[in-house]
Amino acid sequence: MHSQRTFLQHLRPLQGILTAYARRTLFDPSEAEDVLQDAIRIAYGKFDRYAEGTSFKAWIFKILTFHILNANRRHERAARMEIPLLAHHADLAAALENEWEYDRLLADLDAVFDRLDPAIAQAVQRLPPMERSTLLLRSVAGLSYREAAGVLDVPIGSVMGYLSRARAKLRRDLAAYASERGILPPLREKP
Amino acid sequence: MNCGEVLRHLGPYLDSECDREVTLAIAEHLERCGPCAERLAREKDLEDRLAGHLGACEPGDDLLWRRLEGAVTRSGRRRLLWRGAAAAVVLAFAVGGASLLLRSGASDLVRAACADHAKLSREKFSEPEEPLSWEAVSASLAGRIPFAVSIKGPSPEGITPVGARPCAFGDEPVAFLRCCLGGEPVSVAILPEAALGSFPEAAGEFARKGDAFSCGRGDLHVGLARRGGTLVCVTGLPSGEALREAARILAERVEVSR
Repeated sequence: MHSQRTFLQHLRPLQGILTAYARRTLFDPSEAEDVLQDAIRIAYGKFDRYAEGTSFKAWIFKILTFHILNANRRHERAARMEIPLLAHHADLAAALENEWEYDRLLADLDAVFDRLDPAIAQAVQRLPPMERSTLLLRSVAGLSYREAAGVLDVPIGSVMGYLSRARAKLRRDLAAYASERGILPPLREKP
Repeated sequence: MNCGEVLRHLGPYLDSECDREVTLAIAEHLERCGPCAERLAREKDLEDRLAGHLGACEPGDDLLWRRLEGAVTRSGRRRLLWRGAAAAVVLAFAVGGASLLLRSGASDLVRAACADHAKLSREKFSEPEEPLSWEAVSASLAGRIPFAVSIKGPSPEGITPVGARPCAFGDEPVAFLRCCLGGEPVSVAILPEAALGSFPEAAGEFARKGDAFSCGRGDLHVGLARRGGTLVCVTGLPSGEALREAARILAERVEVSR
């Protein structure tokens, strides 16, 4: 028989990543507490259906993702109408030209990573919802591809595709940001 | 396996998601290829740093989880409380207290304005942006909302647009502008006055307080004004009086036409 104590024991180690995932995938991050509360209460109510020995993390992320999608659906219309008037979007074609800058960034991570702070959140925010969710489920929650596919109800191949595109865009955005802000020394010529 | 193939498998390899055969082939390549081994180590370093950054807690998260855990532990008791609350609502209506319940809290339009301002503050106001002309604002909104927004006469002094987008408060389309008001970021929502039909609480406040007024909600203030078929809502941290004045000026100058 599952108890409240057991539920909280499973939940506590995941609190940080659940919060980060909610904040970064919600259209309106200020809804994080409400959405988390709904998800946690529903999860607790259904805890007797959770099979001990399976991944509690994947189970609770699936419930949370369901609540996040519901919350985001309310904003869908506004999101569809949004115009990036002052676009900070890194154009992919232009970003490709930053590959050399990316190499430079990768070589100087110790020196530049702390200065990328503002760019990371923005770059993740710009990812399409499925790419963003997949990236966070993998990188932050540490779910396997199979678990992430289960959470998002998509095939594993799609998870791999989302993840690969998300990582590529994130890296290109960071390289472009670092280059524009002069964080990296300019390259004289392409190798 | 060559260097190009190793790079193609880079993501799944770092995630330990390659099958055994590919994993062994990559490991073998890395043993004899210094540049690839170095690249993989740096990519892993970047992944680890990003994961740490994206998963980082924020101040107050421990309190948040105390509240959330409290919600779980109280859930049984809360069901009883909800039943009690439902009975109280029935009783309140029975004794004619319904109007008090309906009037409580800030108005519907103010809530919508504050919610969008809070959201945009986090997303958009973090970096200074270039000022926009009012013509650029009109052009960027044209055809994307069911009404046109234009400015009559000279641009309002001291209110500088820096961004615009179509938005919606509930079911009502809204022209949403980010502006600087005396150096402070504010949100400006512009709607046809007829939209007030969807905001009965705000319509009631206009009826009671006149065509321009302000109110507060938490740290935020909201200035509202209507004039000549235009309804304007200015939201931000400046004083209610300053926002009401800005809303009044904009309602005079901005024209909304279907």
